[in-house]
Amino acid sequence: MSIIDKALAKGQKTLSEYESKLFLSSYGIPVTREILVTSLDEAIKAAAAIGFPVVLKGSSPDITHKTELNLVALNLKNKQDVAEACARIIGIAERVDILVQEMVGGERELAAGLIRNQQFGPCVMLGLGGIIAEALADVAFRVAPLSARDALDIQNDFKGSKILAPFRGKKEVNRQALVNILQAIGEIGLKEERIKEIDLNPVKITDEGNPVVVDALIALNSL
Amino acid sequence: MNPLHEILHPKSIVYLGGSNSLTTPGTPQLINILASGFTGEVFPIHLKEETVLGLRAYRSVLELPYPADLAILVIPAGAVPPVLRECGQKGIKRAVIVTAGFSEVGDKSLENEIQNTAGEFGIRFIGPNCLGVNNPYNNFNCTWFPYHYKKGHFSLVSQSGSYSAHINHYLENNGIAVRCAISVGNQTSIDTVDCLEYLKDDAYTKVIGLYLEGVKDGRRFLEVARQVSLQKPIVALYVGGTETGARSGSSHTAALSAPDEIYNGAFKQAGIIRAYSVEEMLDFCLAFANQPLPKGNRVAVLTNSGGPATSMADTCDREGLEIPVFSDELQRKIQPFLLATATGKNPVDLTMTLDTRPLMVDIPRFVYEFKEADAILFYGLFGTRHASEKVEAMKGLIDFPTPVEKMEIYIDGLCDSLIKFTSETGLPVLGSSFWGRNDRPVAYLQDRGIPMYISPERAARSLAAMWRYRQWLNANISDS
Repeated sequence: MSIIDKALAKGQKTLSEYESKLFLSSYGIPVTREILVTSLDEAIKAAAAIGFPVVLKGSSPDITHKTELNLVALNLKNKQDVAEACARIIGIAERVDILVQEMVGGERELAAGLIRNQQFGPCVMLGLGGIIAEALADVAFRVAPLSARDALDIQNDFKGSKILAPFRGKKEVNRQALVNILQAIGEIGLKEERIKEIDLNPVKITDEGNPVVVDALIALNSL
Repeated sequence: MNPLHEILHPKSIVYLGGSNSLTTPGTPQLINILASGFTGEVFPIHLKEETVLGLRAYRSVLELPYPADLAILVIPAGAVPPVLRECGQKGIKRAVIVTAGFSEVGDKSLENEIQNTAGEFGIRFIGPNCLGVNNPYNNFNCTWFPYHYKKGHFSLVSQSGSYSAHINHYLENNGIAVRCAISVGNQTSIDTVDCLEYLKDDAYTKVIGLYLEGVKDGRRFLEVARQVSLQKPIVALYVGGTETGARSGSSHTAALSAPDEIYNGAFKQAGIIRAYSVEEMLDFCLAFANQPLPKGNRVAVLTNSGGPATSMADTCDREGLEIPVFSDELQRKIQPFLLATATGKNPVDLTMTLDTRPLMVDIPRFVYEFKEADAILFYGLFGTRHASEKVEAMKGLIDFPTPVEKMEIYIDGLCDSLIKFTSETGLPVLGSSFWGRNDRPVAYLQDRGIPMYISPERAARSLAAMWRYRQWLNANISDS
């Protein structure tokens, strides 16, 4: 059974972050390295395997807004940090799994996504990301499928697109890597009708210029 | 043959809904057909009258001597289905259904009925709930409003009846000559995309203006529009607000997906040039219909007045056009034409001078020879009007050094030279003058293919639209 089949069978309306990223990876979209664990011991082992610093996130299909619930702990530098954060997250939410994730550096944040438009069908979004993404509404859309040119053009089609160029000593974004991500989102939109919407925010641009999906939410159409 | 071609080029018409009274809703449109110089046969249908507007009237479509090429229906909605059936029985295959009162007021079943009847007899039609079509090439205008200007290369497809016909006077006053105008109404049989498909291959059409409130099938629209854009530009005025898009979704992406943003993206993919007002759409179409596309983004701004040229340069700068400083060599060529206070750097400002020959003849040639600009914007053409008004005011006290008629001939010659310049060099030339067509050279130039705008910024924005399309074309022709 696929990730989507399983989630729908369980009555989920969304895929968890972990499930979302597994699914995105299957389309070649670069996501954070991460391990889903259920205990403190496992969390410490996972952190060591991924390499410090790490991020811990409380994970459950019921929870779509982790930051608001204080279920995210960033930049954990050692075992002790991980242990404390783990105890705190378990204390806030019951029956929650722990997602141990690599801490991706870089200050540039994009948002990407998929929506379904009544007239045009699946459309891919790209724009400024981070917590103020919605307030800025600095985004552009293209109708799927995206040609390579569409996926390049959209990279210059929002006001903040300058951050994709060499920016304050950071390298230019790997344009082709971003093209691949945007085309993959469009392909998902055309192939997977059970997916209603996708939110990738933030997609961080590392200082070396590589885009990495740091948080992801896939909303499903219940059939 | 494309059904739209037949609807635009009928040789005979059967007209339902006209009478001998101006207050009958269909009468003004019938008058407009007759007054627009239509040379084909017109058969009015009337239940009682022997003649309608001087034409022999028939009792029903079935009584016609032969099946007319086109039926025009301006009758109550309930009467449309049986009349359309009669048209089918008579062998009439094309119709314009002006009548309102169908799906736009919620009556989907009545609309389905005419769609089925049309399907049964192979009828294709425009409307219902439309204002008809205007085709100067066939002296055929079945809209409400007369069109007096010449035949042109601008085709208009409108989801608003008003924009397809109310604007006729505006078009004439701005030198915008029409190939055809189509009011698509409810798009039951022939929709916006069908119109695009037809106009793509229409030899007279050089640019398509689109007034769009929404599309039925976005993906087909995109596919066809893209094919059209590879041949000729589409300028679209999209006025959203009637579509809700995916705003009701649960994700942040959905919250950001206003229909307007989606259309922006779709237009860019299809090469459609977006306009944000009807005036802007017509400005852009005027440029596209008449001038060659610029090959680059360098603009020479020629003027005999500083402020308007600065406005042009400012607009260019914001719209992605460049105003390069001319080389010393070129400036040396230009300098002899200028007063000591004037500059040949670009913008080239002649300052106040009555003789516009340098602006219209000499300097464009130098700019072309030195290959330092890809397009020319000019401002400040003065005809004889301001001078003759002064002479008139001081009648008997002052004479103009040269007779006005002689001056007019001289200025016409300057205009001819500029017209020749653009056709010979392939450099687009767009001008601006606050004088409208009541100043002779403005009308003279407009009538011969040099777009003249009432404000300098509008000329600059129109050139920028051409450059945007050119860039799309360059990129996409190499892709395909």
